[in-house]
Amino acid sequence: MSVKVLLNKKLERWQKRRSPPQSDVTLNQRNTYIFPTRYGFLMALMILLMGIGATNYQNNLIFFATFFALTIGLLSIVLTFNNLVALRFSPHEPEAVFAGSKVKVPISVTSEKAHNAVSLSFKHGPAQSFDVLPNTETRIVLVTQCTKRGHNTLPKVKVSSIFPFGFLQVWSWLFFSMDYLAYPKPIAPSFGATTGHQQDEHSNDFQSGTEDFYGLKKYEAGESLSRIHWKSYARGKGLQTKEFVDYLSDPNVFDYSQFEQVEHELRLSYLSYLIKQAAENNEVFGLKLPDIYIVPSKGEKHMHECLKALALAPTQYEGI
Amino acid sequence: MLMIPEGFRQLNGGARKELALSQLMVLLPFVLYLPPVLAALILIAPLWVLGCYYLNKPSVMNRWVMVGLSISAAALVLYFYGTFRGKEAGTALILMMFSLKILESFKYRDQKLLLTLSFFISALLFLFSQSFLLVIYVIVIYVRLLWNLIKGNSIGQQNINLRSTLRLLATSIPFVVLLFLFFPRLPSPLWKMPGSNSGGMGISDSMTPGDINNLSFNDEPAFRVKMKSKTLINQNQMYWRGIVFERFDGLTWRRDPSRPDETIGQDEMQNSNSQPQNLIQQEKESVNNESGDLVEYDVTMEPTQQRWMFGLDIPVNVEGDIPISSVGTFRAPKSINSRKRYTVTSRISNVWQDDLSTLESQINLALPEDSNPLIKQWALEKRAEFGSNEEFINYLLRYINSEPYFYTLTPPIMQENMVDDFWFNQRKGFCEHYAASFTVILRAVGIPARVVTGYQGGEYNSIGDYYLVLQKNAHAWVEYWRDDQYWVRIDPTAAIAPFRIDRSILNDVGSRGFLFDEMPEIGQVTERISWMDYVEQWSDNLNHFWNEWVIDFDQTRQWDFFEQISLKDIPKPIVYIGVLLLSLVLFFWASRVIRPSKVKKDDIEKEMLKIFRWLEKRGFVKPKGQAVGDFFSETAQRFPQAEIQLKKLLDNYYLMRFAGREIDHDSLMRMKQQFSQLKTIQPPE
Repeated sequence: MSVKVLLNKKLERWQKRRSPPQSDVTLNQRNTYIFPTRYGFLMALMILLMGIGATNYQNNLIFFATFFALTIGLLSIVLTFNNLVALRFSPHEPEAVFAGSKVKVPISVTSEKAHNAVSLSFKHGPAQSFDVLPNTETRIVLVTQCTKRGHNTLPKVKVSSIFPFGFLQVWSWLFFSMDYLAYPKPIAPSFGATTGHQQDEHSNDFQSGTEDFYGLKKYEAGESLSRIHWKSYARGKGLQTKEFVDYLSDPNVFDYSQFEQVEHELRLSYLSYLIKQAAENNEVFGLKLPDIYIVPSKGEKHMHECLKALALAPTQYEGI
Repeated sequence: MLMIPEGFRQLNGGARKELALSQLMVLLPFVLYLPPVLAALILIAPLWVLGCYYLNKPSVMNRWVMVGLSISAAALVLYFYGTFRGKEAGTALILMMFSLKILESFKYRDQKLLLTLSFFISALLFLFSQSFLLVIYVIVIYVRLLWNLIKGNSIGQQNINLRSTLRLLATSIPFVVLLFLFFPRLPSPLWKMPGSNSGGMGISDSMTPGDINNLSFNDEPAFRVKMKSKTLINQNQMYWRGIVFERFDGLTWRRDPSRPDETIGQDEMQNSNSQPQNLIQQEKESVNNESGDLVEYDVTMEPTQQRWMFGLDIPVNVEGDIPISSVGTFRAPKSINSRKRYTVTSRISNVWQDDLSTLESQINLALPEDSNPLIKQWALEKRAEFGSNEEFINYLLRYINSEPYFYTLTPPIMQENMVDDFWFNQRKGFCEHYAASFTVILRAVGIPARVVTGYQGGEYNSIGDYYLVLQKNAHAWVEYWRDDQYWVRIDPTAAIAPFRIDRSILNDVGSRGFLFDEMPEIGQVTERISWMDYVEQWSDNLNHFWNEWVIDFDQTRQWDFFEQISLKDIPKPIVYIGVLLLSLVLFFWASRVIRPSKVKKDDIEKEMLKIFRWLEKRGFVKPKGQAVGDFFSETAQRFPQAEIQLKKLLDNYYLMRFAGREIDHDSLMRMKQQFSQLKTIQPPE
């Protein structure tokens, strides 16, 4: 670990101690920092030069200008600080995403007074600038890259402003106690990686057939009478036929153990990909992990359930 | 709104226009103090940008043209001043570069750079003028710069108005005053700035009247005098003693080097070594038993670059270890480069009891042997006609009055024997000619006499209760030795017949008074206490206050001020700590004041009551205890035209009423606006 990383970690720990993660953050004197910008330093230099000139030429009006500029510089500290303090930020839970894609975090900004030209950004991310009207919610959507699956805490958000004069920058780091879920990054399984049952991922895993019972469906004219489910007809549910499918391969259940020899996280990524593909093609699928079995089904909710199981899978399965 | 990193943000046309206008405001007053060519040049760049904006043309300039402009600008400065150093040349160069910078200012950061530099450049103006009006102008510039900065840093979603900037200005005033009064000052410059001298004026160290053919009197103040006692002196009789000339070489009058206390200047030390050291020491002791009132007064002198200081009639004491010489003059230890203040006690009298040593007598009788033979002979002949010196002197004065002697500021150049030429041929001259000639005549007949230069008169300013003495009040007169007891002042210039005085200067000279005649009709300016005088007095009074309390507020003045508010006895560190604490309190106060203005809930209710009253007049009476919402919806049913307005009002009202503790100003303004919109709707019959 390099010194820089170590220092950054230390710094962040210190910042966190000063402003512990909360569901929403209101800026106050404690968690807000201020420092001159380069124009602030230039202005300070100008004031210094004016002061020297005034002393050397014994010119009281230059003194006057110096003091005027100095006072404005000092008061701008208060002005700049006030432009940020009392802002309240509350993030909304972002939708779950796949690791490696961008996550959109909506943040509500409110205040009782007006604020001008406030910038909001994730570290290294693009900044959004906006004005805040009193007692009016301003919603800002920040985008950040999601890197790992599972629960992610929101990265610290930088809020800053140089308003009104640009001589000083005031900023704060917002630590939100909010988590968001990231599914494993979908990676298409390669042929070499699998040793178990192999099938073409791009074809259907099953087709209507005769072998396995799949369910009941409404009788359609022309269907074989042998398939009519008489029991339900007797119960007065109308004519229904038993539907059978022929599985092309045995598992329409994506199995963790399917990919032997493959590293744990990569397996999860393969599964993630398979589930995503299956859901896009509106197929029926199930998921089998060493500790969880999700019975085959269809639909978006089912997909999210499966992906969530993948997302929350432990970093390692014991005994495997 | 997505924010582009600062270094890449571009200025749009509107922002460039605003920047050019700000720059133009900063540069404009410098035009008065630069050579015309340079003055025009510094305005070209911002004007060009403005022109391009209004003509809708791109204001991108060819790179080589810009390089050429910069080089020629520097060359021009060098051409006009011969250097880049010094106040004028340095400022000119800075202004040139500052002005040209706008041609390549396309980025947001260029704007901020130029605006930040503008604060400094505006302050440079004070190197050229310290007028009160200029201060106001610089304040206006600063407000403009701040507004421009705010505008540049805003993202344009909310309106930026001047109100917040003006409030900031108002808040900063107490700080500026506090800093001005208490900020520790140095008694002298950190280092000598090049070119900080300005030309001196007024009284010169020697007098050669024959060589001057154009004396210009100007209206600049020489000094102001505030009497400490309530003696009202006739202004015509105010003679401010400056330099006494005793040595005459036939052409030029000089101070006499044989008086040791007259020549304390380092440059003259060697000359005086050979002379007797203590000629007249007893003068000071003898002062006390003389006649005449003693007056004490403060003099505030404008810088002259010389050491001479001025005192009324016969100065007897000067505060602060400044010795008075045996001829009644005194000098500052160093040349007076900035306004100087001193306190003098003087005896008001035109006779000065003194002793005249043999040497002094010799000095004041000496005439160069080979010069001005005619006047010597004339003087001796005339003297013989009179029984006493006094009669002779009276005759001389009447002679000046009756013979065609003229007073003019543009006398002819005199011949080698200046006095002969003046007295017998030219007969045109100013005070120095008359004083010099008169002295020569008196010396020729054995009366010790000498020339005194200084100022005469002084305009009383009743508003500020002080006398203003102008440069044009500079004067020369004569002192002669009488009865072996006194020096007596005599002013031959006053004997000139008023109608022989140059009309253009009659008023100035007339104010000195005449020896023989009343003021003639032609210069009818007496008894003119018009409003113009009043305005004049007020403006000089303001100027005096401005000089005294702002421009000349130096370390001495600061300590005087401490003394006045009885802080002198408290140790300096404690004073400064106290002031620091006061500043902190002020700062705390200011930080509350400059917050965005908020509105108390009462104000909303007041506004609402106005609306109720308006509705009541139109027949919609609100029953007591009815909720506002109910009342509004009932009203809306009977007054459908106003339904939308009423609903808007109600929404805004609820928003403010149930929002947080305080309400911002804009919401209230919105409410007022909605109300005025409501008023435009005609209610049903």
